Amino acid sequence: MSYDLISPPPLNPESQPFWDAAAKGTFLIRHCPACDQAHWYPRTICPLCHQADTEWRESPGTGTIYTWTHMRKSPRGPFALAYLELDEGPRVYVQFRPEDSENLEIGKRARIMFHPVKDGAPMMFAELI
Amino acid sequence: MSIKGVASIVGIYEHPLRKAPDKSTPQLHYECAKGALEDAGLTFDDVDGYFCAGDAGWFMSMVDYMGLRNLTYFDATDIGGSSYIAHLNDAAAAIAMGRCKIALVTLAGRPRNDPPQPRPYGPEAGWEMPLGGTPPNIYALAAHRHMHEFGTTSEQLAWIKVAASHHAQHNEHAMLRDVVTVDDVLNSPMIADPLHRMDCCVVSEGGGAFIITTPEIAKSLGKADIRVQGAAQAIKGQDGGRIDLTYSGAAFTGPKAMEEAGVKPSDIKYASIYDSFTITVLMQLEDCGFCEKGKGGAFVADGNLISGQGKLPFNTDGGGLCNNHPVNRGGMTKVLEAVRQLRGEAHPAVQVPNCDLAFVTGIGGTLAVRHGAASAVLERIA
Ligand SMILES: [Zn+2]
Repeated sequence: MSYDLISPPPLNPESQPFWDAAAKGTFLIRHCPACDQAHWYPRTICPLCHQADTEWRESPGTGTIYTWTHMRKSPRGPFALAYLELDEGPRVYVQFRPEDSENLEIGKRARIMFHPVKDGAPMMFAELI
Repeated sequence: MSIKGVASIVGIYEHPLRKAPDKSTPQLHYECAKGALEDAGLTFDDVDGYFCAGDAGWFMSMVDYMGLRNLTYFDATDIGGSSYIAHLNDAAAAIAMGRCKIALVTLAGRPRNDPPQPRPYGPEAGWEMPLGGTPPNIYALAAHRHMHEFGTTSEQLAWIKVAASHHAQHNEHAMLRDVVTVDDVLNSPMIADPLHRMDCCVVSEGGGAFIITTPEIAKSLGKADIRVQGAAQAIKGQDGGRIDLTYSGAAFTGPKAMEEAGVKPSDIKYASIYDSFTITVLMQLEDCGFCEKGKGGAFVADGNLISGQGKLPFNTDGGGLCNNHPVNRGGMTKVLEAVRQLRGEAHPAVQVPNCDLAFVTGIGGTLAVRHGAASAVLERIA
């Protein structure tokens, strides 16, 4: 699968700061001061406790594969999906970068990374570490 | 307040087509509605409640197209393929509240001929749309985790398809009528690890419909009284990243529907379990209490779901895995086969003897990302 066949994510005012940081290679997650928990995907009001304005925090994006699959055929070629359980807690539904698609196992360590896709926009992937 | 006993299913229809290049989607809805009304001995003018989901398109237009001019209640709740089981619940509630007396539920479409519908996205679009997840790979995510946690094997999942194929051989309308073996399933191409092609349901066209009304009207029509004794629905999502893929929304709806009906899993004589994929069946069997969590693999093995052989006959029409999965939405056909079993109108080779208590459950949307679940208990009242 080629990165160029992936459409960039649609943005909105709530997600814009995430993708601005992503363009610089920084992974942000939302943390809630009220319940002291991180969540995924990022929301301004905490989906766990419904309190407070959550805050962006930088994250190393490291975690453990909770589950994975390798789609053997698709219009854009084979690709792999997974849930990556971040060290901060949330399980992130994510696509693995094509280079790692065939070497996935539950429990393996991985991290979030960004790579340009169609039109050069940054897109989030996971890579094995 | 409960919906126990307040409503009865009096008409059913499953479209005989599995490929419908020469019909329109509204036409299929209309034909299914007409078939179910004729089965009930009712007319379109008798219908005062209408329930459908996204496959009907713009809801008001479908109402107008079919000439439903006496509606006092309607609902277009869409929880994917399990919508029609939720509609059963909602229609029974509406009937109990006196909002309508005779409700029609339809499903139809032509996924092989109509242009592909874009997958519906909500607020998660920016985070999930570029991943390109589709049902086979998303359900596979749940299957892998189940295998990891509980030691479930591909052989065990294959038994679900084997059982469905044993039933489908007797259904003249079934899309796939060949009996298959565990090896056939394991040797079919890998679609999305760990799911093989034969772990996946068919893509079919056509549809179905049913009619639900008060027990009094059911009696006056002289139809078998197939009573709704319990029903429940739920939505399970990612919960802000705390998603646990070892269970489905059926963990809420199955036990709740059975509790309302006052029955337990061991009382159920026949079960319609939505089988978009083999893993969908395994997960719901555990979640609804037919076996312990994690023991689904052992429960389905060795033909335990085959009518006449196993302890829990399931999907005796061949299910979505072999018979029919119209518009990629399997909840409708689950209700229809349960009614056939309760009426004693299933194929004689798969009819469960003295079948007076049936269970229906479904998962719509995507098991491992976010889905709706709906369950119901149906009983034949003598
Ligand atoms: Zn919070």
